[in-house]
Amino acid sequence: MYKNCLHCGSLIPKESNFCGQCGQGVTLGEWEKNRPHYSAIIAFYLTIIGFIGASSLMFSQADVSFMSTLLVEILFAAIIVIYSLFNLDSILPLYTKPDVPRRVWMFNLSFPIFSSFLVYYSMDSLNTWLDLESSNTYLDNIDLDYPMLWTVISITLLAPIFEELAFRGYLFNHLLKVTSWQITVVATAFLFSLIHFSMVSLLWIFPFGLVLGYMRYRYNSLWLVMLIHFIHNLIVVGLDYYYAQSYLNEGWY
Amino acid sequence: MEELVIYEAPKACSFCSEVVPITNTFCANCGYPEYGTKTDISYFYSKRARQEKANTKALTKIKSAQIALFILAGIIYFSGMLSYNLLEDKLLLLTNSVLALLYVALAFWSGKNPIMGLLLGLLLYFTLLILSAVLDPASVYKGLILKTIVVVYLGKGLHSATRIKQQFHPLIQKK
Repeated sequence: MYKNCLHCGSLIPKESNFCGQCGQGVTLGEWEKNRPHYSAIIAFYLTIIGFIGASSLMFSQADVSFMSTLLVEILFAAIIVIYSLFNLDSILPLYTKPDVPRRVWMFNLSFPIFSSFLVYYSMDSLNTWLDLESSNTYLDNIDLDYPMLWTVISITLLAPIFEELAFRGYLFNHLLKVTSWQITVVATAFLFSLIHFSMVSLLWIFPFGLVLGYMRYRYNSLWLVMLIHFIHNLIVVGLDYYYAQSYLNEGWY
Repeated sequence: MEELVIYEAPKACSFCSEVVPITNTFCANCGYPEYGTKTDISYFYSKRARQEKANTKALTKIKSAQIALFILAGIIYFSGMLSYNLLEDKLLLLTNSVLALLYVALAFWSGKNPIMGLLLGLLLYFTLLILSAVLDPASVYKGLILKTIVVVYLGKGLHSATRIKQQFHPLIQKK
């Protein structure tokens, strides 16, 4: 395998550090080669975390209305889609129909059932131990006009679609260009758990992100990870709705 | 009568002992001008010395950033312990312990993979700054100097990590 010297153009063996003809260094520093990817990773993450911070601050200071929540969700999705447009060549193939054996589909259907119940009840007891009020996705939206409809749309549909596009799509592609797949899986899971803004849920979101990252790497498809994320969130919302009803009947809320 | 042709055998590089083909002037591994002039040789040594010095400087900055991560871990863990002892705040203790563990893990990792370790460390730090601003907007201005120092140390370390030139790496040594 040969390459051309960057300085004099001579044909030189690919593994050369220096050109044998002109003596100039021909291995680009890691930085020169990877600069666009690092810039993309940092800019994308800071935009997302800044947006989440600003919207959380807004919701904590002002009354939450249906329109404002909708606007925030649309803006969040728009940011991710706009960034993804710059990486379209690598992202579009991830949306082709995955060709995977049946056992993978079985895993896809059974893993989120297992993970959602495990996480739901273990986080509940952890919150009780910490004297924290468990957050309930349905009760969070109860002041809005159609709480159940909105909870289902935002938590079970929008979250899997756009979070997966952001972390297993855009960030994953750029990280994969600059480092090994193992580090990519760990790093995306880490950043994915950080944006949830809760250091307690980090304990389960990180391993959950590792599974999603591995599935994305192994089968090169976002459909599989979106499905896992969708079923997981659907069951959590269902359990939240079930317990919220009993709270409401007992007049706790 | 047949003419006697003497083929010159390829020499081993005088600097790194890699084989340098006769067609090349410079060693492809370390850039030493095996068949070059005296000027080429002195240029080689001065360039290499400059770059090695720059690399050593970069390594020191990475080390400082690594130490900054360890210090952050220590501060965050002890403040968690303190608030648990004084206020019995179990949540803060758990949160801060998890964070301290993360910082320690990233600090160790940046010894092996400086770019990734320091990049994630910096992003974690930014996340926590934004999170604390959300929880208590007045806290943005608290300890501004300290926050700037941490960002500068981590940023400089990350920058240096990306600038290390592999071809001047100490592993390519004079034999």
